[in-house]
Amino acid sequence: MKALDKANLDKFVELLSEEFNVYSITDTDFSTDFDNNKALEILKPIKSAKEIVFPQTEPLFKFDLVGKEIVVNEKQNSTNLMLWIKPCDVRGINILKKVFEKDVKDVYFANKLNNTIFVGLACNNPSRNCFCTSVSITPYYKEGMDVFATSVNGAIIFEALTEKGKEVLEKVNSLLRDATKDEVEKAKEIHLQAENKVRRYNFNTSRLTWDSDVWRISEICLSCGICTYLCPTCHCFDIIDENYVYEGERIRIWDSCMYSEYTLQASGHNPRAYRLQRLRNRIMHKFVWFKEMFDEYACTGCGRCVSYCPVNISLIEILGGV
Amino acid sequence: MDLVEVAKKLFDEGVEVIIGYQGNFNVKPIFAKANEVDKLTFNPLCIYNLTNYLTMEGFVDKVDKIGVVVKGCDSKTILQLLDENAFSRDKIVVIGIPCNGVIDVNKIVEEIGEFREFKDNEFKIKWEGDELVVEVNGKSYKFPKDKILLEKCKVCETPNPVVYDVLVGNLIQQPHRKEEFKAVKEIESLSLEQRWEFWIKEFEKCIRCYACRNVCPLCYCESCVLERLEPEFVRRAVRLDENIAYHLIRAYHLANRCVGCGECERVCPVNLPLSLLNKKVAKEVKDLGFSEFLKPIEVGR
Repeated sequence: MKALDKANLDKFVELLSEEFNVYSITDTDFSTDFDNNKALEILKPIKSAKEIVFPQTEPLFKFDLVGKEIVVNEKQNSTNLMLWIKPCDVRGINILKKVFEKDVKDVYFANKLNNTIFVGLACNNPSRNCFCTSVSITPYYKEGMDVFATSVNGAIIFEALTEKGKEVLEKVNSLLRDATKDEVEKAKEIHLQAENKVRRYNFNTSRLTWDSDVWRISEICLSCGICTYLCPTCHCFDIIDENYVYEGERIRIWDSCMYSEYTLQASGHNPRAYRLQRLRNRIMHKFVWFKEMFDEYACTGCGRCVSYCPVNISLIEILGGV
Repeated sequence: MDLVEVAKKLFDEGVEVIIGYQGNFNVKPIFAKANEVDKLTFNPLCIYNLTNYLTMEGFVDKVDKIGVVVKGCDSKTILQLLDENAFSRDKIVVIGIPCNGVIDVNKIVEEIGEFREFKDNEFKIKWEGDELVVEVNGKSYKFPKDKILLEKCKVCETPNPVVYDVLVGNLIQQPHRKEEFKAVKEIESLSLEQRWEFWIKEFEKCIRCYACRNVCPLCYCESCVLERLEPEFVRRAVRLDENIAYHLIRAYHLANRCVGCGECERVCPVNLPLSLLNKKVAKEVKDLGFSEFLKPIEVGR
């Protein structure tokens, strides 16, 4: 395993930026404009990483009134590198992958995913709303990452997991040294410490039945889109043509099942007109129907929906984990 | 009489539901029926403006008589809603609570610095004069009021409800404060370019989750302009120009109506300074010579 002394962090980022679009963590989201030291410290941004492979607003193609040409949004050729992405956010992308590649491969998603390298960082300071260990991942979950890193005192130690990952480490090889035995041991210790710190719940999904009492919590739901838009696994979208005077564009945008407009039909009928129906649909999709289809929960335990719900509705409570 | 006793009496008198607060640490709104009356609480973490629920999903039409718990700031919403004929006065029983100010729970957790969620039965929180006293499992913490209070409470003009049918607790004697639009004046002193830069930086962050609209007790149109597809007033694309359009439409629709409860700013996941925008409009309206929105106080039934 290789190690980087934190004193060389700036050079490390600089070197990577020569070849990749380097995105890292800011308070709000993943951005190319980040603070090298701070990015390493922030637990996770408010918005999840899904935006990188599944942007909120994504132009698919353009058309105009004058010519007869349709310009398909060009494939992206440069490579993105997601620096210090956390296990829960990578897990989110793994879950999205199942959906977007199930029967028909979504080319827009696949293209972005192929062009992205994930340099993940083990989480060493989980917050009070984290519950990743209750949905079968850990603060040192590596699947889907190309390079897995752990911050150990004055250094960061790296483990390349894929060919892509090896290439990345090769690129910055001049800054790396071999990790000492102590550091490798310490990293393991940090992993376990973090894992123990995350609160573990025994979720009881059998209580999620159609006419269960748990849905009464929807009385206080505001029906806003915070939980869906911040969620790393929510993936509903709408496709719409936006027309200007002489030209237009077909775009794909995130949609939210919490909006009443989401299921409104042209006839005026709305099968999910009430908040109860919408909240129930969202939770049952994540913990019952998704489980039936893919044999896992569509939840990464990042806790964003719990932290940012305007009226303190807690997924943990709904799932009976107290 | 304390809140639960008041509520019991109201249930006896035929109120069907009371929209109030529940929990000590994990505070959230509750639609309490008569058998849940003991759950009702009030403490400095009761931050939500519950009047918002009155106009949601036609709730007020489904129930004959609704009780609603309001703080001073929330009570102003009731006046505004009544003024707009949002519902009839005799459907609502306003339970007014004089309030010393509310606090963001995250701030308490940050200050105590302990990594966990507290159980409701091990957590106590109350005002003692100018100090906030928090008791967790017998351990007690004290915080000075200025340090911990929510910004909007620092300039609160109405700690006492301006409209109520029953009052819980005693009216608060507080030196008369006046909104001086300090933050607005500060930003007005910048140049046009600087102001533009400030606002686009904020609006760029908006994710259009519409939490600010949904939490706003005065955004209760049955059909919102934002949901229109024909004509599409605001495009669905989440881009700076459309975001600006969205927020300006909302700000204009709230001109001379916004009561400054600050809920929009509180719920915003990306921390847009929405109160500042609403206050700016409020100041313009005032400068144009319109009276402040507050109508003569209507006390009692």
